[in-house]
Amino acid sequence: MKKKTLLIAPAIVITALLFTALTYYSGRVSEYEIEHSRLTNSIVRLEDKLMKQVSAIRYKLPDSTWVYNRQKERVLLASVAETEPRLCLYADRFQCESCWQAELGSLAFYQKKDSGLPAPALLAANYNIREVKLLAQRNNTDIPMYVTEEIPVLQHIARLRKPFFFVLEPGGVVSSVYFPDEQSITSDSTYFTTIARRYLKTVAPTAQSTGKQKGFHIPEADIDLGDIGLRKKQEVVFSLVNDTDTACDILDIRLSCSCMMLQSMPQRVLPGETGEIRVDIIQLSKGPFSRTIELRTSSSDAPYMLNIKGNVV
Amino acid sequence: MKKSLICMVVSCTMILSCKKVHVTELSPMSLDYPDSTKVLMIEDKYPYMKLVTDKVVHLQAKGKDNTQPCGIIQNGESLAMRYRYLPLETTDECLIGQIDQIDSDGSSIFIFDEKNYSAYRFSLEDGSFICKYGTQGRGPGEYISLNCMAIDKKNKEVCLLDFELFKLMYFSYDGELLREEPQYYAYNRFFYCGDALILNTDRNENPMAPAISNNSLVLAQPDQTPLFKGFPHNYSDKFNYTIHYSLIKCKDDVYYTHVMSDTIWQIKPNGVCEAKYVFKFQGRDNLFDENDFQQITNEEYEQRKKDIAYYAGDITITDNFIRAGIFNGQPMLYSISTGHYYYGYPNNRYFDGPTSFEGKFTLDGTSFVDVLQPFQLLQNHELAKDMYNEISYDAYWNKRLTEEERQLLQKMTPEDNPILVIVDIEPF
Repeated sequence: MKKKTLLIAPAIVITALLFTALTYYSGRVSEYEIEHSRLTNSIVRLEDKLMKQVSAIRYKLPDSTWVYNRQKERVLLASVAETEPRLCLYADRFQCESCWQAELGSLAFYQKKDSGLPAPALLAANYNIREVKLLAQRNNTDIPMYVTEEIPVLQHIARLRKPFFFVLEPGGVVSSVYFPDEQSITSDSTYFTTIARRYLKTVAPTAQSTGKQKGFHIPEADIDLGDIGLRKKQEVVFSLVNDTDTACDILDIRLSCSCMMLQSMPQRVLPGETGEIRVDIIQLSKGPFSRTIELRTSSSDAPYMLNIKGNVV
Repeated sequence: MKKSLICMVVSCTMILSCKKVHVTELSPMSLDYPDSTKVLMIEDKYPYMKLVTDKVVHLQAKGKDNTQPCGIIQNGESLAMRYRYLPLETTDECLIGQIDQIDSDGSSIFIFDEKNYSAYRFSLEDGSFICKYGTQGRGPGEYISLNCMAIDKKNKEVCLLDFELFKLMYFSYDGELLREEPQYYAYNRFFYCGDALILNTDRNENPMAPAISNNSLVLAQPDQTPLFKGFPHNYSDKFNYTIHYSLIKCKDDVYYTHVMSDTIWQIKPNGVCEAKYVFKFQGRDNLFDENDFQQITNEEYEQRKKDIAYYAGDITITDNFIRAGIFNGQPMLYSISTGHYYYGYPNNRYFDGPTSFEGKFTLDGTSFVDVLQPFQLLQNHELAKDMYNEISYDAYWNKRLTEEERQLLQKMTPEDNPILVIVDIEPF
């Protein structure tokens, strides 16, 4: 009896210790998950806030705002974006040159990567034509560049002596002003993606297919999960239909939140066939949510935006 | 029998005593040469350059507050200077942003713009554009960026180094691509000196070539095969400073200065390194000693030279003069023939603007060359016009300008290429 007790007692102690360790560990994991989710949400909220501020700025340029092109021809700034918007970088001689050249590089990079962005342009304030030509030569870029003096409506922004992006809309409207964050490329990416989405709207139907139609398309690009449980894993499936005569390659997929995990995705959808993208999603806080998946394929220059929404109860 | 035995022993001893030289193949740094047909044969050991220090000339440098005369000085007096303007032709093909190197063959001038990755040849007579060397790209004769231009006057070739594609491009003076050679080890600046190449390997470690690794200079054959190495470095990891233009060429001579040193070495093609000039600063000994190379940190380096006059590689040497810029001190001009000094900026006036004589370049070792940027010059004029009454200002100018200056100013636009000012100074 005593022997039995001697054997059982350590077993109980070890089991209790193991249980405590497991509980502690799982607690830590869930703490980590909560913290991670909280940070992710904070970043999303900050990005949303940033983009709301970006959207809030709109100026109408005076009709007499002139600039010079590389051929030293005097043109109205509004005419630079006569028919379609332009994504402009404003750079001033009195700014740190290497800073705005880095942004020019960034613009060229995103332009190549995201063909959905409006055509770019550089507005070089207080520079001369020769310097602008040299700049194009040095950066090996064909981005249109315009020489200008200080533009009165932008003066108060330009006075910050930092390079900034803006969208020049047809009709001479300056909008979506954004000062790049030197410390982070994430916000640059957010800005460019948002601008691409916003100004892609007009061409979106060719890429963002819904309903029955020919070509590569996603019949259900918006999925509403309705009410889902807290910390309950949900599987979301998007069908890809290729009704064309050529194979469609999946080039890239981007999930807007770390709360989603890609489970499976075809590399290629052959002509006449269908494929599926399977994503698991877990929400760690209560309330409504909305997540986006950006899908790039060989069938279209514009990305497909897949949306998932729901309400965590 | 005895004789042949002795002969055998002697020959064996001779053969065994011969030093065995290992030769290894060094592949190009760029991976664009996959066939490995292009290799450089290098030995496992190279001798150090011979340092000679018995012919040194001491240059008396002055700090900002130092009012005590040193040597014979003519401070405050105007130097007799003659200058002529050479406006460089401006076309879309030959736009120059800044000038980092100037060389000449007597009838034309070679300009290297490091910032804008371009090299040009202009006529020395009237500044007309002759040709451009290479363009941006990845093909033959094309480059991503340019780090250095070296003129081989013997073979009349212009050599450009692209440190991104790791290649050397050789052009005829007329701009025709003659050949390309891969770069076999890392150096970022080089010059021809006689029949040899002097390569500034600087702080590149070159682990692929242990025989020359961790040396700041390599003297090599024109095909990059090393002959000598020099100025070994073993800087601490916490020290990042270097001199950008530590290797300079004045006329046909190549000089070298390294960080934490007041000495200017002349590198000769036979592997001799002669300490030619040493700056002497009143009231202080050397700021740095041998131990500093291994121990000093960026912060200590900054602290030690804070508010103290020191030399950091800003020098031009002509046949008659040495011009040096002194950090936290006064620029100086030393007359080699008389040993006289001139401190401060010579009382020069280019278009009477605020630009003062800098003499950063030399033309064939006889004249100094300064660079004027038209947009800056015109901007200064506009500012001055704003400050003064425009009519009286124009009258002032018309009175002060020479006929040549007046004509230049009339034709000048902000988009023009730089104007070279060729300055001759009367010996003093």
